[in-house]
Amino acid sequence: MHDVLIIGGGVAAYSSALYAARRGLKVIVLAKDIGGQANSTDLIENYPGIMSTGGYELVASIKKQAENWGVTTEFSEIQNLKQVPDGFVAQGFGKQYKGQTVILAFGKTPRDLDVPGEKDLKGKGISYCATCDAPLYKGKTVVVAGYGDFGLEAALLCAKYAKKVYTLSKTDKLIGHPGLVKKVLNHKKIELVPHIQIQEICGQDKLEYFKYHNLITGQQQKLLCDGLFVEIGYIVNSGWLAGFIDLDEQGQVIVGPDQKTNVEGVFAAGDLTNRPYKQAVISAGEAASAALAAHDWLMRKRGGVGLSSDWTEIRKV
Amino acid sequence: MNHYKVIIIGSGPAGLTAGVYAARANLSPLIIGGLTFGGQLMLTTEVENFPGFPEGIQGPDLMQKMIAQAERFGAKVLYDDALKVDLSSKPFKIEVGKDIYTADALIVASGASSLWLGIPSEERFRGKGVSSCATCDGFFFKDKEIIVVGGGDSAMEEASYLTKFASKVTIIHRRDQFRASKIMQDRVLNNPKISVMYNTTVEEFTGEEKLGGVKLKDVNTGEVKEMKIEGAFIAIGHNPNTSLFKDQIELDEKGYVKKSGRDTHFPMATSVPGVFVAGDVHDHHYRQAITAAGMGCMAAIDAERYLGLDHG
Repeated sequence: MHDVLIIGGGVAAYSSALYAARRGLKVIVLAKDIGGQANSTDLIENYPGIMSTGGYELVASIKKQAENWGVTTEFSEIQNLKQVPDGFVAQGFGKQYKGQTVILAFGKTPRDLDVPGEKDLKGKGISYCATCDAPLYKGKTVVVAGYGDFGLEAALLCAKYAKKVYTLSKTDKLIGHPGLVKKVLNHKKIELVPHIQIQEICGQDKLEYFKYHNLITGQQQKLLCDGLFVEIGYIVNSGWLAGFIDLDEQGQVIVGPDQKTNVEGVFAAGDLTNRPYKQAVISAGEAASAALAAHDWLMRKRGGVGLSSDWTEIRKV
Repeated sequence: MNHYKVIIIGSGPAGLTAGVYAARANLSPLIIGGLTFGGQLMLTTEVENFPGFPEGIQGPDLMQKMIAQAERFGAKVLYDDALKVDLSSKPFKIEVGKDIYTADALIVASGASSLWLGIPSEERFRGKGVSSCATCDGFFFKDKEIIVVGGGDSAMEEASYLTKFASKVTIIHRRDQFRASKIMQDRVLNNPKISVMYNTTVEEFTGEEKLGGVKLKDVNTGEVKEMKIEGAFIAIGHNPNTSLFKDQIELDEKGYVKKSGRDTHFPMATSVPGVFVAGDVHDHHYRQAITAAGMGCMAAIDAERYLGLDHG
């Protein structure tokens, strides 16, 4: 039995782990992968106190800081969360984790194309993070199925490494920041493939080609490639919490004061909450509050004195 | 012209993070940083809990980095105090020395200051043995016996820090248990140089020119006894720096700036449209550098959006 289960692997998850561990709590981080949304950028210049860093580097340094205080990570994709008499049970594949409190901090997840073959070839040629994986396709042919600035930036990044980049559009135009659109259209290595709808992604053990149809002519065709980058935005992957935790219409976790959710003992922090702005420093700040609030809640539940802050007065139980 | 789109009052983590974000949004903000710039972290030694610094960082170093970062993106920092503000009409007016600055949007991040015990003898010996900043004054108490008054994390921190210099540190706390975090308590209770007196209050500081002793009262028995000390550090909490804004922005009963709460479009909005708040001047609950920084970021985005909507 842990004191705190933290579900997630980004800035919010490890910042709350750091704060909870410093309060002397037994903390475990349950992460599907490390980095979260910060992975989508390789240059952060607006995290206070750090002039310049990469998204992954920032998360790795917070992770290390949390580990200095005894935090451990278990790689697990949580499928279900339920309440039991003495706390909560988080269900991963084949393994359960028990904790007295839970902090939800799994952020946002790249949106899937939702076509046949995609699930099987994830990580085997299909990537959702150009920043992470573009360098793996040096001298190869890659395709970017993108939308907006995400897609444009991914295409430009891939062009630094790949020999050829196809960027797909359902129309004959690219949507996004005009400066980026121009850069993409003028790039020698990047070719715009217009009027495309992907139908199926195919390959034995790794991606080989995908089938698409032309939205104007209706013609079915194949395109061979080594890598497919899907960059169509992010969603909060919270369907598994529905019915237990209150979510808004975008699937974001609704938080009240002190980062509380509708379930007592479950807190949330970071990009998955319904707070309007998504920035690393805000996630870290919220995460600190969530951890201190979780500690406070736990101490009161155990009949002790609640303490959620370093300096303020004792709040009567 | 002394006109700015955004002026930020305060140069702690909240004000400087707001500065970084406002500057990156091309709003060329002015940060009125105060004569004692950098906020409460300037009075802190090792910061271990600011996410992103696994090896820890000295409070003043962290603030220097944030100032450099804000300036790099075009924020201007003024090392002087705001003396008066007029928020009754647009643009807002802020008096600094003999100059008047005007702004379309204002971010209040003026933080909080240390509380004092409020007994007459405390005033008399302030700077002569009585201090609220161990980091500033600790060095002067090399090999001397001192007390720390308080029971929260900051009292524990100051006590631990002071054992580097003092020969003996006694923590004076008016309750029967500390409210500090477990880790901080453990550190203090395991330190052979530190002893603790619970259920005890300070009656009077004594001495001639300099602090020489303290009269301590047992709150249960009422017994008063004197103890010889040469230093006393007061670590009992903080007060919001809001005297400038009294009767202009809505404050809560303790004097902290209230968020308006009615406008969900602008999370850090106050009772005055165009005035936003961030950090310890609003939050008397969590009071962490990182929570203040997060709020500074939100206040800057609020201000940017507010100006973008042509409210300016």
